Order: sequence, then C-alpha cells, then structure tokens
Amino acid sequence: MTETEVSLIEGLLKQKRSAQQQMLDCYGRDVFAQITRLIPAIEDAEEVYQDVFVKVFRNIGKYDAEKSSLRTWVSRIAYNETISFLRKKPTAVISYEDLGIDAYALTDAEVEETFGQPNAETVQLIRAALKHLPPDERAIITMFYYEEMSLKEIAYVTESIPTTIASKLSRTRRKLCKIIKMIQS
Amino acid sequence: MKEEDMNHLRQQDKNLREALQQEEAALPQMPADLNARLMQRIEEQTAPMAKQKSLWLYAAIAVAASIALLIVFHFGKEQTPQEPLMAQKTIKQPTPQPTVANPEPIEGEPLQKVATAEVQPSQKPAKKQRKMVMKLVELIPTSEAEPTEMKTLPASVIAQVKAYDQQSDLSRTTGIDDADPFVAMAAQVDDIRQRGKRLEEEILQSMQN
Repeated sequence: MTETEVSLIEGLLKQKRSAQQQMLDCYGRDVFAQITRLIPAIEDAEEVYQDVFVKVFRNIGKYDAEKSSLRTWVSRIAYNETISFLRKKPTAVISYEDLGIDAYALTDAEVEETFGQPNAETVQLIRAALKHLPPDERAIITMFYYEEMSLKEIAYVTESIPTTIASKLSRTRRKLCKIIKMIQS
Repeated sequence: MKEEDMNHLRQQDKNLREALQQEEAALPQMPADLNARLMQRIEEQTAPMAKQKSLWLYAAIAVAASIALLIVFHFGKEQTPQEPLMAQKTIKQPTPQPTVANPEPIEGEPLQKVATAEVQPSQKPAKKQRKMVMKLVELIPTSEAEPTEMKTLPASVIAQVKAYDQQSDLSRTTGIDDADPFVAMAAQVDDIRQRGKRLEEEILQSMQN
C-alpha cells in the first residue's frame, strides 16, 4: 500500500471532507464506468454511484489491506451495488438462453479464430453479442479483458474463487462466439 | 485453467479486447457535478446524525441525573437508630414538651395502662400524640434485651420519656420529615432503664457498706 493510500484511508477514517473528495477524484471515474457498463440509464447509474461511495465512506473501517487493494475493494462494493440494483430493477435484455443458440456446435479452433483474427466486422459483432450476456458474465469479461484484473482479484470482487472465475470466463467466451454465429446466420 | 493459460488467452483474444475498448469509449461521460451532489448528500446525511447523537447524549445525562437523585433521596432517608439520638445529644434543641403528662405516677403500674390512659396533648394534636405513644408501647416488647422487664417498666420511668419530632438538620431546613421519632423514643427508654439499674446497684452497694 502506498503512502498516499495510507493517508487517504486515515483521512477517510476521520471522515475528513478533503479525503472523501480525494477518494472521489481517484476512483470516481472508474466506478462510474463500472456501473454504466451494466446500467445504461444515466439516472440509475448516478443513484448507484452515490450509494457506492456512501457505503465506501461508512465502511472504510472494514477495509483489509491484506486481502485486496483499495481499488479492488471499492470495485467489489460497486459490483455488489450494481448487481443488487439490477435484481431489484431488471432491465429488458434478451439473454443467451432466450436466443436458443444451444444448437450451435463450436470447435475450439472456431472460437480462437473468431476472437484471435483481427477483423473490424467481428469486433462489431462481438460488441452486439456482449449486450446479450447476463450482467455478471459481462462484468467478468470486462474485468478480465479490459481492466486486466487477475483471476484472484475478479474472484474477490465477485465473492467467488479463481477456478470458478476461470471456468466462467471460458464458458462465457464460448457463449459469445455462439451468439456471434447466430447473429451472422 | 491456470493463471498463465488465462493470461495467454487474454493476449490471444484481440478482437474481444478491441470490442471492449470500443464499448468503454462509447460509455456515457460522468456528469461534472455528480461528485458535488454526492458530497452534499453526505453532508445532509451526517448533519441529522450529529443532531441525533447530541439528543441521545442529553437523554443519557437526564436519565443518569434522575437515577442519582433517586439514590440520594432513597439512601439519604435511611438512618441508623442511633443517629436521631446522636443528633439530640449534640444539638441543643428548644425545650421539648412531654407527651406523657403524669408527674407522680404509681410505681409498678404496667406501662400499657399509663401509655393508653394518660396521654395528654401538649403542642401536638392529641391524635398524633396518642399514636406516637402507642407506637412506643409496640416497640418495647420487641427490644432484644430482657423483654419481660420492659413489660413491667415502672410508670415513673415512662414519666421521664420525652417524645420529640426528631429530625435531621436537613429535614428541618427542607421541611421534609426524614426521621422516625419513635426510634429515638425507644432509645431514650432504654437509656433511662440502664440509668435506673445503675442507680439501683449504687444504692444496694451503699446499703451494704
């Protein structure tokens, strides 16, 4: 843990306004992005964002530096708040199960080709396919590929274990490929 | 799947990473005043909490004060039987009025008869005086030492008994009666009896000599 983080946590524990402002400046944008990935409606995202930081400021005493970094801890709270919000207010998303794509049989080579061979059209197809993933799977894919978090960190955020995350990632990757094939056909 | 394999997969899936980067770029921007609104909300939430905290503090102080007052009044009232007598001995009080007015009582007459028959009002109302003497009579047989002798206490001794509204300094100033006068009277009787015994012994001794 860096000295800046230590002083930031000390300030947060004393409920200093300056420390809270610093926290928002450091992690605010990332948290907001994390929320809007799953909650597109801006008003709802703002509400969840506020709830996340209220929770962060209230529970800063529970933060354990040995378990995770401050960023991962904040990310965990944001993930939980977002998932809870979506459970309370489900949005209309056509899920993978509704598409009936189980019939699409894919080989490993096909999956690797879809994601590995740079292709602008495939990128657009992947973007379209991502919208059909359930929120938790979309979050895991983004954490792994975009935020480049380790399996251990993702497991901490989602309150799971690394092996489960690895198998989930593998399954979701294959699922995405199936959705792309279905869109193409 | 191992961590290394997963890292390899991450590097391999270029299209997927590119798609996610484009998705991130398309995300809505965070409103500029969102943090300011959040800080305002936090301040609004903490202000009533502080007010509530101070209210709880005042309530706790009030409860503690009332408990302390209760303790003071409760234990302040409890006095040992010696305390009224001690007060009587140390503080000179105005000449007390005798409650039993029989200057020359018949020797050997039982106490109960004297007490019930010859109570006369002095400064106190008659009812109260009678009540006081009756209570004294009730107290005598319960005395631990020689109850039989107490029953046959001579009336001459009773004539010397003086009943006071034995009160502490505090009760005199506050007007709240906090002492039991009958305890003082019982102690007096006991004291007179002891003196009588001593006198009797001295007379017997002098007669023998």
